[in-house]
Amino acid sequence: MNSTERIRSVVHFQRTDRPALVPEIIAVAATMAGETVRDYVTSGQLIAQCQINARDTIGSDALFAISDLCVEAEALGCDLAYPEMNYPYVVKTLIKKPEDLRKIKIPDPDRDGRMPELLRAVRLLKDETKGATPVIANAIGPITLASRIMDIEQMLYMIVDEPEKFGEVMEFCLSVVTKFAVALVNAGADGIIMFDPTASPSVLPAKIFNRFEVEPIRSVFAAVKSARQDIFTWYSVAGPVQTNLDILTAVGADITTVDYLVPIETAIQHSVYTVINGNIKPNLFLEGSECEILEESKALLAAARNTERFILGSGCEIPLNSNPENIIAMRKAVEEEMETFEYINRCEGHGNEVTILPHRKKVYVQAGTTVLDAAKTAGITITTYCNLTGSCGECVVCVDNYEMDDPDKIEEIQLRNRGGYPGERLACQARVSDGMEVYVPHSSRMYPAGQCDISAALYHRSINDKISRFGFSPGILSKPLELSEMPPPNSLKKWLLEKVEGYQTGTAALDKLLSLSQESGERVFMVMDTSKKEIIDFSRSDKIYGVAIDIGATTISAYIHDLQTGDLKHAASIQNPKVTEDFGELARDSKQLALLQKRFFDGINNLILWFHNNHSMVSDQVYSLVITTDRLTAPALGIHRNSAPGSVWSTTTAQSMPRGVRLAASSSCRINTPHRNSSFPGGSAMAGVIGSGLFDGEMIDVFVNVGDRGEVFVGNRERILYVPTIGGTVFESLRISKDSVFQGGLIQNIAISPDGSLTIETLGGTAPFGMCGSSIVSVLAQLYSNGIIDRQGSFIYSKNQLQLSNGVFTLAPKQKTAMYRPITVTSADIEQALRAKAAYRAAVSVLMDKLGAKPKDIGSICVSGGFGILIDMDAARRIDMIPDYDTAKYSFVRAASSVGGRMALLSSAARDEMDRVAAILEKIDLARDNGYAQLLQKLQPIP
Amino acid sequence: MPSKEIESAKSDQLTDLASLVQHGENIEAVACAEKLLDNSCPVEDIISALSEGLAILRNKCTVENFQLLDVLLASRAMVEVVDECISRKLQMDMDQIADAFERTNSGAPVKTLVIGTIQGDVHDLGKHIVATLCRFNSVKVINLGKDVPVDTFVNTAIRENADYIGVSSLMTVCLAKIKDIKPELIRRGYGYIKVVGGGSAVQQSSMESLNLDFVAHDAFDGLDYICKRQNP
Ligand code: B12
Ligand code: FES
Repeated sequence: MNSTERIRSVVHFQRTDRPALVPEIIAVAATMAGETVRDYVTSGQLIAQCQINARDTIGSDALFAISDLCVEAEALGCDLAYPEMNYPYVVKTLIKKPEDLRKIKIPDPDRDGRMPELLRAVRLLKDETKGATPVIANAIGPITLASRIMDIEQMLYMIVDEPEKFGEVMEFCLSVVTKFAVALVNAGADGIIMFDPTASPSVLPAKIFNRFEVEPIRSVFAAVKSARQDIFTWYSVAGPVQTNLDILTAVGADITTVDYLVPIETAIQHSVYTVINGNIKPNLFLEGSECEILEESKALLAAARNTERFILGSGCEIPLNSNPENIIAMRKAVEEEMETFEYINRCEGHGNEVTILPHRKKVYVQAGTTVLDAAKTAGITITTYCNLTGSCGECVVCVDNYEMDDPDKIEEIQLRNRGGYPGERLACQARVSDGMEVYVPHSSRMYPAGQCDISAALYHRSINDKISRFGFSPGILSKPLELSEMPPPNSLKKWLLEKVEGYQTGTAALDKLLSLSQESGERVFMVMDTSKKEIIDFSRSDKIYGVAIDIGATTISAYIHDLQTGDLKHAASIQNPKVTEDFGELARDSKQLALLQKRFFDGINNLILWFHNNHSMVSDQVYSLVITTDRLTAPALGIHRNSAPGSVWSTTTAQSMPRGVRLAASSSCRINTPHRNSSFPGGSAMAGVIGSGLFDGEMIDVFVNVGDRGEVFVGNRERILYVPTIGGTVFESLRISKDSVFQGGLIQNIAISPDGSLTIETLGGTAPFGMCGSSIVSVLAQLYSNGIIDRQGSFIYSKNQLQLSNGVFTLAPKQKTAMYRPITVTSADIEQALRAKAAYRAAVSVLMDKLGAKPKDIGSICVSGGFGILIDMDAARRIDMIPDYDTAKYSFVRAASSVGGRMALLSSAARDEMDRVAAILEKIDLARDNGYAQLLQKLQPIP
Repeated sequence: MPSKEIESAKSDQLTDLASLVQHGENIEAVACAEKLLDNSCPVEDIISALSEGLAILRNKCTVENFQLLDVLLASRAMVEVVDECISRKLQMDMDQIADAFERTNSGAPVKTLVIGTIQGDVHDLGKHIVATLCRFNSVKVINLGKDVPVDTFVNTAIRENADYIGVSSLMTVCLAKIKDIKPELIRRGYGYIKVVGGGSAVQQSSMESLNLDFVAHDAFDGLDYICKRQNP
């Protein structure tokens, strides 16, 4: 492998012949070659020369065509000082007030400042290496540019005092950066690294980063990728990134550099789609010894042994005047790593033998590897949906009779909630054992388009099963059409409509057919909407896809299905933009509303385009979308049309998007959203009802929807009553870590031993990060059964309880958390949670009374959470959040609304079922119900 | 209004002032302070409300998660209350205000700090915060700005009879110069002046290798060192 191949492999998460090594060697290349920094930063020729020299000395896998971080500012007209042996810096800023922006022009990369020199450096390096070593150029972060052209303190005040005006500054900086970045790509750069020191959490709070910097960065990266597809993007941010881990995933770079303040394990664990590069204390290169750097590097390589997503690097620029031997020590570490037992094992397979069924692929992996990674090594990708934290249950596999470590609590709950079939394990949690065989069921596999394995479809009983309950009739069909039979254009329509009787078609589709027929090829495919009886499009490919999107209060999730086979291709989720931004009084402000709509669809597009970029699917082949969301969000999306009488479904197409919004799908894509008048509980809740699989018999079923609006549904085939409760909002507001909706480190359960010591379990087993609303259920049950709270939820103080003081119970002291902030439960939290559980419980009772139902009439009780919410049903019964009847069947469905949405996407019968349920649904108003209020009071204590 | 009620209204307003400062509401804080002065509230009370606001904020900051923007906004509010309100309205000059601070803060003797960013380095935001915080904790601050040579640090400290020199560096290449400050003080017979370092480059090194008396991990850490130490 040459360096370019090596880096590309890493970027595609594939194995390399040796660990990749890229320390950030910028102007230290000059001091190594005995040149002055001033000469280096002003000459493209010298940059190229020094970089080649440095690469040959160090053996690094990349070349940096980079001088310093003031190039853009200078090209805009800032005066720089050029010390001989230090980086240049801005001596006079350009902007005092936003109006000053009008006086400056976006620079021309071929003419202004030192931009031409940098383009030259790229070209020279490209010529010299002939593609064997990647050439990386720099585009600084837009907010970093802003902090160069204006004083940083003044900039921070402007962000707070005049955010709109700051938005203008950012727009300008974004144009400057984008233009230069694209020029660098066109000059031949293989990668664009974005240094963005000002975006560091040590300067910018997460909220501001998310609001002002995320989108501009994504937009620069998108621009360079569209300038050249195979370019790789790289983001380098300084500071304690663990305080805003979203940085690692939000900007969507191929590679992310973190500095020494972030433990490398944390960075790897909390990123999924990006390669991590780092990280050694910069000062060690100056004051430290070769030996220290060797040891540090070796430790980093060892920590990253189980991932392909790692490039050894410095994490920060290597300081000027560093001793070259200190940098060479990094390469020595790479060589030593290749000699180590583990690395040999990992590469050549003397490790544990694992056989993946049904394909009988054998792989050798190191002990301690997860089953998921072992399968991946065999080329079999398992569906994952929760950052491998054990909370989505998508990755379930079957193992028989092999000695493995027992599942931990989280896995156990997850498996139990799935039905507890013997032999099932979560691939992301279970570790391999030597000689084992793993069966990867069809439903847990992620198929590259066109590779679906039908024989495995026999392996049923999982979620796909449930989804196919209504049969497969997605309403979109693709059929071949032989072009050789095609008549002249004027009789085309007639001919076509004779061929497919009873169908209609529009001019747009006919035009498409005509233009396709001009190209070579014998056959095209027509895409038909079978419910509206319309030919909606023509395509070269027979592929048709649909996406079920659920916009939850905190997360937007998307499931993409092949509409020919029904197979799940992929699932992913992002944070709902509403979470980080304060959109205030939505409906009243049309500008805000337009912005929110754009954000929503940007989010949806991101998800679709991610599939598009990574999985050989084309976004134009998306022909059907089902969007479920809550009652208030649905109309705010701006795509709502009046639905047919008797139906909850509002149907529109991708052509009628709100102004300024484009959907990354075929323009004839059908969009279905359930929505109706104010007594309707909302699409997500309805989808949840369908997804729960309840209410189709005589027995009375109970469905509790934790999340969204906390609805409780009670009823049977004939009649269903429902109430929204305060439970939803309370659980939402109990989300003790606001920064992150869902990731490893969320506390799931606690255990308290008699001596008062406390152990906590987190998603993914990483250092605790925060707590989500649903884990309070388990925590309450534990606190109560250990005598830390009484029935009313008041703390009982005792000498034993060191964690308890002044109404605050500390689950984790700050030294033990990932955020370095303590995680606590206060008496107010407990009171809120008790109120919420009483609300659910009282609602069930009142609705049962209204139906005249008795415990013996109960069939099933099902609880569902939003995405990633995991509720321990036993704990929920213990604290009386749901009634404890021995006649009832209890189940927990994760993300029931997504399940229902997918059903609706794949089956018109499921859509009809929703209409049926909506027709027998009655909303009960408990606001003025005295009995309910009293019951709430009564049920608040723990029984 | 009976005087008791006036008193309690006043103490409510003082609580408001503390909270406005804590939240960085500069304009409201100035308005609130003006109202208090109009009701002839003693300067000392206003100043202690200001310090209280900052104290609340400090509890929110940890070394790993220093809330830079919050601290900046709070200090801006404090500076505006002092500069635009107290000194303008009561026609007090800097020395008088410093005296008022001293009286408020339990009469600890005023210490003098000479602070600056080391030569070759222009990062002065962090140092600026330290200077402001010190100013509100009865420390007399002489701010030399950025890009400051060793000699200037030493000469100024001697001339001003300083107790501390505070030196900041974010640039690793500039660290070497910091090493010369303490030996130069000692050579000239002023070894008792304590040299305190801060800034991200300094934090990566150590007291020993930079010849410092203390390395502060954030602004509050440095403030504690300067305020809590007994005078030499
Ligand atoms: C803002 C900034 C600038 C601004 C500075 C504006 C200003 N007036 O300060 C400008 C744009 C001018 C600038 C210029 C340069 N910068 Co600059 N800059 C930064 C940045 C983004 C933030 C620094 C900051 O203000 N942090 C916030 C403050 C509050 O933190 P702090 O200073 O550490 O202070 C805290 C504590 O340390 C403590 N403290 C600080 N000083 C003292 C002193 C005492 C006595 C005490 C008790 C406590 C104390 O109190 C504070 C609060 O707790 C950092 C990257 C980063 N994210 O850290 C790069 C960074 C420091 N810059 C860097 C560089 C290289 C430069 C430039 C050479 C150009 C370039 N490549 O960008 C020039 C330097 C020119 C020169 N000769 O100095 C590098 C330094 C690398 C290194 N280790 O050597 C960094 C790390 C970024 C990077 N990786 O490229 N920069
Ligand atoms: S990936 Fe295994 S449970 Fe989510």
